[in-house]
Amino acid sequence: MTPALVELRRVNKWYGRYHALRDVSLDVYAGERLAICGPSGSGKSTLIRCLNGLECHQSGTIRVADHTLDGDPARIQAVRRDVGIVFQQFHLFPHLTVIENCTLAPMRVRGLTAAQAADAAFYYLDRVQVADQAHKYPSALSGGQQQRVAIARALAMSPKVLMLDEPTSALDPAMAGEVLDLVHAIADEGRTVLCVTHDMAFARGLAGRVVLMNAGILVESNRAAAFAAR
Amino acid sequence: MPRDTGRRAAIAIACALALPLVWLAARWAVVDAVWTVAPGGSSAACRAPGAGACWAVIADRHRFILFGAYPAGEQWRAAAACLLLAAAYAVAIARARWTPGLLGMWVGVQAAAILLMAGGLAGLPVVPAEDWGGMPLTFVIATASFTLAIPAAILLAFGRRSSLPAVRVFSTAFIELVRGVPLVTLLFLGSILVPLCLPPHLVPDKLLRIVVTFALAVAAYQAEVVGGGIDGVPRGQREAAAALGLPPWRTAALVVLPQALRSTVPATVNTFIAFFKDTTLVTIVGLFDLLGAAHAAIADGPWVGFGVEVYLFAAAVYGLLCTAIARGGTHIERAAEWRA
Repeated sequence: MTPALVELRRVNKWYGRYHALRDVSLDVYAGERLAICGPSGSGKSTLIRCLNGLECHQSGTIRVADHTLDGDPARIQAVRRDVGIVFQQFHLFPHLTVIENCTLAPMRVRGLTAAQAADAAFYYLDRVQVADQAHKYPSALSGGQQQRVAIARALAMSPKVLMLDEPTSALDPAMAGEVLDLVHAIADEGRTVLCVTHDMAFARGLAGRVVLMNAGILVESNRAAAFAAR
Repeated sequence: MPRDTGRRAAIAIACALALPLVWLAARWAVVDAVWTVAPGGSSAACRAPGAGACWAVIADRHRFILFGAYPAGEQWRAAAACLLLAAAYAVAIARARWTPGLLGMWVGVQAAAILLMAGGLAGLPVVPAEDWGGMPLTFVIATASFTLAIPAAILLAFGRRSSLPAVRVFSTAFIELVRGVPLVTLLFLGSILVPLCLPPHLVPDKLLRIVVTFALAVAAYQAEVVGGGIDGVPRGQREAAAALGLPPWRTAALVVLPQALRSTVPATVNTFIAFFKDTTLVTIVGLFDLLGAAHAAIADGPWVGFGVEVYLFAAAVYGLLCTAIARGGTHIERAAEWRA
């Protein structure tokens, strides 16, 4: 069996005295679609924030694409090149146009030329169907469009893993269905997708593996079909 | 009686009472005013009984008030320097020109204005900085010190928020010390103490010392303005940049700073206007800015005692310039909106 792309072993995380992650162990393999479900405050967002070094775990090991996260800034940078994240509130850069949002990091981090970065950005903006908005500022876009831009921005860095934090929470149900289609399309290209959600229907729709979190404990890991059957 | 009618009646009565005052002011300022006297002439006409405002003092002394001790035959250079700087401001507030090239233009125009005033090349006679005065002095001190202060303020603001203790302590100490000392004291330190502490051949030019002193003061105040802007940028912005792999300093320069500066435009204009007016404090260390020159114009000679007229003139000039700065600030604020 190939080694896991993302590997967590007995990871613990405290905020002060609050124990946010308790002995979390998890393997995610390349090309997998994984939904992390659980109620608010269960630690699922903390988990994905630890996966790209936005938060530091205090014990256990996290390995992403052969890099071990141990607090070394260089390794955190290396992991961040392989892990894209779409935040719950999108966090687009308001002072940059859509296309500038999508080319900033590819140019400054990956060292692409402006033309290369724009080509790549337009490819992904087209994939998420907002290419016609490329020269607008984020404030001129609807919530659904902003999320698509956020997805394109993350994909423009060609990460091995795409993580989405509550992708449906800011959208109406019809839009949520479209996002689901989009995530499927992205996963079908062979990209690994990790999705944090409290929306069980969305998790089922992702039709991959589902893990549950509660009070910082990864309580169950199951195939979606079995999960749906219960 | 309905309230509205009562209010109108009250306003009518107030106007009727104010009318004589308006008439008195108009008589003093316009009807009875003395507008001109023979060139180099005496102030006798202004001192005649029944004479109103003596605008002749402005007509006679306006070049000294506007340009101080700058040699009369060379004052076109000082005027040209002012126009050059004013034009640079007008050019710089247009968003289409906010490119890295603008910084070069900005520094180039200031160097040109200062060289034009200093002379010593292209056949222009040298005018030492001690002879500079009036409006050009105000313009040069305000523009040069702000240009030096803004980058320093940005570095101090980030420095105060740095995770490196030495940088943080230095920035905090600098800001608090400079803000804690009155500007007048700083000017005395810069103009009197610095020359005492250095060997004579190392003492920089007095105007340069004053510009640097102003720059340090502006930097300390402006650092807190920029800092407020930095703190106002949502944490999610930094996280989004970090998650994309941008290192901290690129995040600061490309994501945090542009948003911080945008939100601090009104407060920055505030700082600029405050220090623009504070340039008058250079009088106490022996330079004649516009207000100092106005004061000196009536200190002796035929025009002693016509303070109201020259101070009104100076107030009008400051009022005009500060209004222009405020309008420019509003323009920048509107131009900086992120809407396509």
